[in-house]
Amino acid sequence: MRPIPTLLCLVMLSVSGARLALLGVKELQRYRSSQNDNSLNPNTGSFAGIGADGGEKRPNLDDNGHLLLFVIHHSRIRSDIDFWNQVIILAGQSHRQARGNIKYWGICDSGAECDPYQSEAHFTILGHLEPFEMRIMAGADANGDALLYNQSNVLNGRVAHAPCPAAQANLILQSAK
Amino acid sequence: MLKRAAEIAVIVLIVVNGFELAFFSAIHRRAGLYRVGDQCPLPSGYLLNGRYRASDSAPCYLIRVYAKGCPYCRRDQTQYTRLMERAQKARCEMIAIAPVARDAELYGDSRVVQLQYIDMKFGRALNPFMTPETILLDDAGRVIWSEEGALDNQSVEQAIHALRKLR
Repeated sequence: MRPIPTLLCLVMLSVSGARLALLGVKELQRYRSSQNDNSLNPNTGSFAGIGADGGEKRPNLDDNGHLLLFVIHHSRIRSDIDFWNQVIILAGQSHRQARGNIKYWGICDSGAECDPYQSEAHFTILGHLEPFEMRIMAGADANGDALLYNQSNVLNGRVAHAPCPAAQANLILQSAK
Repeated sequence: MLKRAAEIAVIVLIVVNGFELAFFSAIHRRAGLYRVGDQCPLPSGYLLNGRYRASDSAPCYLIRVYAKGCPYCRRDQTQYTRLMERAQKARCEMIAIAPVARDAELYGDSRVVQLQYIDMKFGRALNPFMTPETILLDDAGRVIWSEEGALDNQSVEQAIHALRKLR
């Protein structure tokens, strides 16, 4: 090997190696941020959607009011409705004011297919939301969480799924304090 | 001895470069919000005028996620218009969607379907936290190309290439 071309070759390979390493690190950071649920879940929400009657819904919260968003699954809609109906009743019994202060929105995972069940539900069923909030809800559903927002549209807390309505009601009331 | 060391160093650096390139390519394919081949439900939902629009069958779909106040959405208007023209020639359905209704802007362009409210299946497929996003789907709703951020000439060429491959 001739010394000058070899040296040149080594320098060029070192430079391209360093450049590729830098690009790899940046791409890895981008990948991690795209995989990180927290970075994709802003802590403010947007609340407007289409209810079971086909009309536009907005929560119109009172002072100190809260909005709880949770997903109802069309494949098991009756059990989901029963579960959340009991949660709402128990939350109201545990804290008299809470029932009035918390509005409950059940977001259907199958668009308008849950609409016929509105009369059975103690909460508002919505099949369509703004894309921003719908994506956040889809992410929360993947973790089995409900989302509790305050009257300023700021996320008060993620409410984990509880195995029974009483425990779920307690978790909601704790988050709403 | 020095010659031998230099030869080994060159070989090692070539191998390292090769691995780095492979790593970069692999991570680059995964880093985007949308990956080629990802399945997306065919776009449907409530329009800005409050009417429901069911998914329509088309050879392809061009989805644009935009916001009224987003400067990058204005910056790439030339490129986006060019892409729209090519998508129209390919008989793609063109959909514009704002992350929240207050960011929506009525285009006044009858070629573009402007969705306001969407269902969870479509909502799960979108990542509307960045504007603009431009996504091309084939007739079955598979992602064939996407760009996050403002379009440039190169990205439009890639999109047009993806459209050509559909034929």
